[in-house]
Amino acid sequence: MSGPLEGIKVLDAGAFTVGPAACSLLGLMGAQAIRIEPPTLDGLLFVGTIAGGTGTSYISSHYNKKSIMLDLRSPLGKEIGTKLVKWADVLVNNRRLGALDRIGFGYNDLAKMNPRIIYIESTSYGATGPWSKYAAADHFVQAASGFASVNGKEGGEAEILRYATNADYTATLIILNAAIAGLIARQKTGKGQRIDTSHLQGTIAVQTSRLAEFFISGKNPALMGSVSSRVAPSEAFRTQDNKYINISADREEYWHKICKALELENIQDDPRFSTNEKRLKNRKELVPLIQEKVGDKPAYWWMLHFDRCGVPYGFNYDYVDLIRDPHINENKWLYDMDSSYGMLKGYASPWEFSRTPSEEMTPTVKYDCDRDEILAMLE
Amino acid sequence: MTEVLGGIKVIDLTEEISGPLCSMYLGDMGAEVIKVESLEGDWARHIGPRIKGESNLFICHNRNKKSIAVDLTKPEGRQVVYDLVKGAGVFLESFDAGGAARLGVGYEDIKRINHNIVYCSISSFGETGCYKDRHASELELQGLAGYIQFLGEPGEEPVRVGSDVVEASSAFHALSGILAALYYRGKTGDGQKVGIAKLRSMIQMGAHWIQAFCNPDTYGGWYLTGPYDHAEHGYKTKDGSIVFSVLARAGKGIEAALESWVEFLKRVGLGELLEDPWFKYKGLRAIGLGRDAQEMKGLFETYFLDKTSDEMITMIDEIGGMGSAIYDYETLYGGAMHPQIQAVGAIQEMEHPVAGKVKVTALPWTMSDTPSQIKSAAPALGQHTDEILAGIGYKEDRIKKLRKSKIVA
Repeated sequence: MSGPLEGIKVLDAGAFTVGPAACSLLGLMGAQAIRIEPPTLDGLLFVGTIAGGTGTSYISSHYNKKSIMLDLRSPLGKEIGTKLVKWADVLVNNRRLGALDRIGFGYNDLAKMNPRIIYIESTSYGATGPWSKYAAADHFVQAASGFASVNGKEGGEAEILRYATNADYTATLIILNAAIAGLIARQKTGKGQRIDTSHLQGTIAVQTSRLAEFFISGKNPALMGSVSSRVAPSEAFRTQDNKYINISADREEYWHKICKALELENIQDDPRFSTNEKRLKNRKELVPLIQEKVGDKPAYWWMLHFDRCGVPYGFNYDYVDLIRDPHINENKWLYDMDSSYGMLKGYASPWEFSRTPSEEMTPTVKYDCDRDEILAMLE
Repeated sequence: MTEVLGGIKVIDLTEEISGPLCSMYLGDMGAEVIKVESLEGDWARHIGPRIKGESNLFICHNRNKKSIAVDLTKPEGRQVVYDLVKGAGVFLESFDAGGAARLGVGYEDIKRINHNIVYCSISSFGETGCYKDRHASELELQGLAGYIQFLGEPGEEPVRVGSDVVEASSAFHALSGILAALYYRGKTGDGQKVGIAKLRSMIQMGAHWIQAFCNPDTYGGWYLTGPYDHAEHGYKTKDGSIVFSVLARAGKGIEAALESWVEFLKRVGLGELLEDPWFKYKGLRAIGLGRDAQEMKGLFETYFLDKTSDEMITMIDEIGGMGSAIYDYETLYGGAMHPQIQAVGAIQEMEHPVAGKVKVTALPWTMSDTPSQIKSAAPALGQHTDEILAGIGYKEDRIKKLRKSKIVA
């Protein structure tokens, strides 16, 4: 691999998605990552949608890595594990609280084996407190952090975002950031350190903007469907052909463009709508005026027209829309990639580094398939 | 004490959420963040609820920064930015759709002055491809990234994610890109540009559901990982709602999961279902998350209604599952805050000169040897203009002149 982290060595001692996917991203930045697969096997191997005999969420959590199966409790596993720890710059652990400490691979043990190691522990809900004993996964952290409580239609019930990725991958990004911060610190101090985070903290961090509102009001935010709490208009409108198109005036210049595009120039400077604050306050009067216009023409027409007029807009994509989107295709942000599991979806690195570009991702391998190579490397 | 980014100067031209969140974390880690605002100030100063006239959206995204107000549309204003860039380590902008280059602060412009700088650009769609000149906000990008399809009911009005997940994810992608580039510069001395496209960030965030469509042998929405599994409203209990899965703590094999399932049914008083042919057929799929489980919702709820959410979660944990009540903001973040929120230190209190005591979200990780610090509250517009200009060698009369001709404020 090439990339800004070329030469960095990472050990994935994690489980499910949160820790393992962070190691994949470190790999995408050029680090060499090795997955330590426990003999009990990761839970994601067998659940959900299956490709090539393996759960696709296991596949999407382990690209850009080599894999070895190790029982860290056995004498041989301990010996190889110790060699790997001496080899590594970063170790990522998101197993249950204390799981690695109990088998002699907690931070205190690792620091003795390799004082330069950066150890990152991502727990579910933190190492102390009433919930610290609980395990968590995406849906449950959405519920526990308040993330779910602000999703839902007006007057309805709070909703969980229905697929397991966003809360998980947020915690993943936190680990990624923390690992690189640890590497920068080590450039200065020459020493490794311990870094602690949790699934819960990540999911709280993404709510910063909504919490900013709550800390003023002290009241649970209202459920608002597709409607923004601080920008108006910013919501979905129904087109003549019963599709929905999202439109936002997240700057005054876009409000002006929306008015022009919808031939509503007469309301642009209307005292009820002339500023975002006023539009928010008078949203109930504003929305029918826009809806009447949008509902008069089909989605395709609005697409062409809003492109011409520079209005921020977008449709609600499903998978088919996503893989056929011209911009995504032109940029090769999604591509087909052959692997030992059959055809997989690769996606472009989320960073465009001008000097140290990331290569395309390497597909997830079968667990333990790099055993000989890894053992030879440790000799 | 060593700070991770001590000695690094950040010139931050971003506004609203993603850029400011990113540079706030750079500041938490010890960087000196100079927020370069227009004469009107960051747009976030003008939106969202206020406290004593100050936007709390701004307060919550801009601690540990200094503010200088500069008119970038004037050549003298650009010169101020060029002079600031000379001693800087990081430059950050989010003008979108090629706006930075048009203002004369694109990577090529900045690199000419400081060729080792780490330059980060955050945009909606990136700098290549047919949407490169388009702008989109949180709502549009949630929709395009496939998020909105996972909320609400088919055929009904769309529901967005209430939190600004696009902005936050883009902030963390930008932050990791900047940190990696700084690490590389620490090793080689070379700077570079890091491009962040918000839509591309969201594709990375959707890795699981996108991969589930790769070319699978079977499409299985067993639980947890089926993209369209229903878990949306959870199950009603005596005092709220819970989401749970008895299978979720996998890794112990299918037999252990089966045992947990049987135990669960017995504990909630539904043991007789074990003999029910429908239930036998659906088996494990009927527990917790997933479409089949939702078919059980009405039945489950009749047994949950005399138990509190806490009792249910404790029991589910005991039998090897996991779950949580659906908590609201008042319970978690109101008053003295929930003990678990306190325990992880996710919310910190700080003093703002105008707004008084305010609560802010903290850097979401802690480092044993190089801790982060909240040093100063979000600045007033142009609060540090004189200090910053003096710091790059501008004499008093020159600063006065710039102020008078409305180049800085």
